Amino acid sequence: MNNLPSSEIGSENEQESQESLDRRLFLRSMGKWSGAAMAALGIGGALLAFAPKAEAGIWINRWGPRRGGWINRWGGGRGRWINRWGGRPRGRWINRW
Amino acid sequence: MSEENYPVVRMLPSALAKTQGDEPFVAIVRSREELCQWLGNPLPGLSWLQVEGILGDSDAWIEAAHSGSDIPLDLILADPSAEFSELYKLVDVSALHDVRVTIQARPGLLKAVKLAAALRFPIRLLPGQPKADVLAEIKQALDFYLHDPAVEAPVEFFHSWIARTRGAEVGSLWMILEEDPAGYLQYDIDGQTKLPLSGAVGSAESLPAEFVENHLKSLLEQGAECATCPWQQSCRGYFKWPDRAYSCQGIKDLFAAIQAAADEMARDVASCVLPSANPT
Repeated sequence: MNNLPSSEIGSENEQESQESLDRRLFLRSMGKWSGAAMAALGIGGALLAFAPKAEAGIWINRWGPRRGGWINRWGGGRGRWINRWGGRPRGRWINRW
Repeated sequence: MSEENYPVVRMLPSALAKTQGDEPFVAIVRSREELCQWLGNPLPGLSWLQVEGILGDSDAWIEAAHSGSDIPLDLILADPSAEFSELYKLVDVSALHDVRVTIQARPGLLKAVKLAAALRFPIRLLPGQPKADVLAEIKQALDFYLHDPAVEAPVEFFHSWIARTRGAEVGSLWMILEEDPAGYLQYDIDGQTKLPLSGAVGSAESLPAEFVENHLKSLLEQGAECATCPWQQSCRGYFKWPDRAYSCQGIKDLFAAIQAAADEMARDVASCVLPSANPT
């Protein structure tokens, strides 16, 4: 994929995102699983893109680098969930799921 | 960046935390005064506030909802059956502060999980070494987390355990629950480090990074059931602490239920035939 032009990479990402969303909608239509469980499985483009790479900070990772200490601690290896949850838990976060 | 490069988060009583600098720490507050002091004057290294025993103090939450900072708050429910109904008091404050609810696994936990989830708070359920009645509630909480359409926020440790089945590097159960001294070092009021769960003052400071591994190694040497447990790599003896004689049979059933749910979800996903994957 690294050899692809950026426009095609973007297109691939969009397609993956759409497929992930389709799967999420499909599962939701089944009425079997909660949105949180689907997210844990990486359905909906969430966890697969931002899976925590670290062994800690599941909670804090989600909340974003709000203060200096967090950035250094969680920003690289530990903080993939930061982006997933965004700065504020409400609004953007709910809409995302 | 390797794991070793990340500093340990120190979990400190409020009075002790005031001496901290820029290194990451968590201040444990147990009164309205302490809460408001930290919200009014957060030190640079403050990662979040662990709030204990003041959930019922309405005035504290009114003040917190109008504080000048947005420090995240981790609310500890030590007695969920008695405290869960007070969770409504966090609605206003959650507009300004990120709020997590940490629930000690004790009778009544299911009500607390349901209400916290309804309020869209992420949850950390601390299982400890649950007795049969509490374990039954934990299994009900798992079922609620998995299947209730209203659950949108994570309930740990279920959430990360499912993620792990799909290859996410979430670490051991100790880390998921933020009880591994290698990542979270707890201190008592005298500045002595505490071992997780037991509250015992002791050796965590000397080799915090090795505490969990030493614990597991010791269990294996003693012939504990961890030796043949399929979940050993993820659990790493969590449920054998502090009581090494704790029977994990019910816990293994719980782990198996999570694994089965993850597998079933994966199968459901596989059964979804997308238009792009099946062109005509």
